[in-house]
Amino acid sequence: MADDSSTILVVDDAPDTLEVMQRNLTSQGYAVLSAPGVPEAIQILDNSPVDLVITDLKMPKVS
Amino acid sequence: MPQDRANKEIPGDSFRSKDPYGELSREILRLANRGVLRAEFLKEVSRMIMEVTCCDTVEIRTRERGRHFCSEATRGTPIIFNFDVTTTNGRLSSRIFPEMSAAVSDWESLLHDILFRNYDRSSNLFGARGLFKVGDETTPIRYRQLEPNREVERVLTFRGAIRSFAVVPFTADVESGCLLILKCGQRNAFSDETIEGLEGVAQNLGVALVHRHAQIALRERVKELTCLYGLAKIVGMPEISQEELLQGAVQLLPPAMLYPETATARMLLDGREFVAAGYGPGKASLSAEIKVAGISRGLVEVIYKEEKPELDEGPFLNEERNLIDTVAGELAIIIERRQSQMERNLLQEQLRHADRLATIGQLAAGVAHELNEPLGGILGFAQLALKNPELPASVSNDIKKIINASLHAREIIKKLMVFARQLPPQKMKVNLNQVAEEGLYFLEARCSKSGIEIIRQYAVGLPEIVADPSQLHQVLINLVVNAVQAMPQGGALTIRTERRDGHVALVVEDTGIGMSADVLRKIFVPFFTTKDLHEGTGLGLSVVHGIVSSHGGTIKVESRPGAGSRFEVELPVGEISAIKESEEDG
Repeated sequence: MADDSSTILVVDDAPDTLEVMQRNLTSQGYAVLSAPGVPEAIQILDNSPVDLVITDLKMPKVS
Repeated sequence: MPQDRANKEIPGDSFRSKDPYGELSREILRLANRGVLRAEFLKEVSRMIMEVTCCDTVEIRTRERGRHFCSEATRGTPIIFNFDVTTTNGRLSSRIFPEMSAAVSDWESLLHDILFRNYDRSSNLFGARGLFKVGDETTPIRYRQLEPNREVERVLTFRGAIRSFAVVPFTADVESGCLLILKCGQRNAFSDETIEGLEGVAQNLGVALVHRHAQIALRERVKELTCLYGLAKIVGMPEISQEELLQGAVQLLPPAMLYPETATARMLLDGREFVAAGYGPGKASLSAEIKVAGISRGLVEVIYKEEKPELDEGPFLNEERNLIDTVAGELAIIIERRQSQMERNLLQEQLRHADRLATIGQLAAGVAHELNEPLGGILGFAQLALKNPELPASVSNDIKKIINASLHAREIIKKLMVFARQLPPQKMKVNLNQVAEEGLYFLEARCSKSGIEIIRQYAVGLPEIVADPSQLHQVLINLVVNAVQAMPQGGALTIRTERRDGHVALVVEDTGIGMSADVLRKIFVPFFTTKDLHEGTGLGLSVVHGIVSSHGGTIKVESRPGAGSRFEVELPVGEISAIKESEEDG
């Protein structure tokens, strides 16, 4: 079981992938934040402390 | 009627006309018109002269393009006939021509003087046109010979059965110095009328000889052109094989020769022999090399099975030398053209194949990529669902089946992406021997179970290459698995590494069932398989192809049904910069 304080940010443009990841990690006891795109991810990173980011590499609208 | 005919019974009756010499001249010209060969011509002319005159021997000496021809016919049944040819630059015979050897004998010396008008013309022995006749040679012949600056009295004595003879000089074309010589056992055999007739006949004989030669030359030219035309016709036949071409071409040569009835021919190409009808050992041959792109590949040869008189090159004519040189040259051009056409076809086929594979690869990768996301969803949600402890056992079993099916689908997608080079290799320095050995580690058990002996032939001192070791393992495994499946009754599996120019090679060879050409064409096409549904996806060799291509290598396959298959993977010996590049990529 993971440490209670660990927060993971999952970034993916595919909603299904995002949901699967989120639910899997939540069931492992992590606090999970999710973002469907880069702007949203940056907004979250600016506002909340995040221990780990799991992100899709190739997403639309990202240069 | 001439005197000699009244005195003697004449064999045959073809010239019993009022103008026998005119008739004889016309017969000679008709004979020339038929273009008969020289020896036959001279023999027939001699026979006709003997029919018209009473002479016992007819000798005809002619010259043509540096060669001397001498024929001698003596009355008899059949006629005794001798024919000699000498070339001025070849062996010289004293018998043949007077100016060559004026001092050899009285007779030759006399002929020499007659030919060069080297005598006192007031003598009654000589006629106006250089004719010489003797009525009775039992008495010595006296005449004044005109040497430069002095006159010499010559006395010639002849022995033998000949009593009278006549020598008529004549001209054939630009070559003067031809002689018609008639000898007779009777005294005073040649009347003035006969001599006059003979002079006319001799002049016509000169014309006939030229005409005969032109006829022969024309006929030879026609034969040569027929041969070349025949060759062009064979070459123009669509779909004709090289063997058929040569077999057809060799038959064209004998009829083009001067003596087709005794001629035969053969052609050699790359150690294969093609012969014309009646081929066998001969007395003389003329050959020309078939040189393709500067390399001798064989020859064209014409053979006379019987001895024939000396001509330009042995018994062959200069024209025949030109002809077989031309035929050999044409064949070389045809062979070269066919070779490059075949190479071009092969290259085009390879390009088409590569192009088809690339198109399929792009399509497959596109589909794979599109399917990957929904598949991720299916797998992910199925795995989540399975975690629900409240699921009934039957549902949880079904979900497990969904998960397994999804995993299978994911494998296929991965392979397609490898094939389409969508998964970049993780390159590093590797030793192919080591890769092979590591790969075989997983396969040995399977091989021995199938009764297959593994033969390792690793090259010593193989240079390292830059490659993705796990992808190379995949290549080896896929090739070996195919090989094992191709040997259901067991066999030998050879794994060989080789060092080649700038490349290293991995060779996987089996002694299995092999593949037909039809199968061979499709083996790299994704989803093509000869295996049962559950045995393979039809992607194994596609993956191999993808990996090898992404390493800048090539793959070559040789296979024959029943004789096994050999796969050769060639990979370039990479540079260190290639690793850096791939590291930067990552």
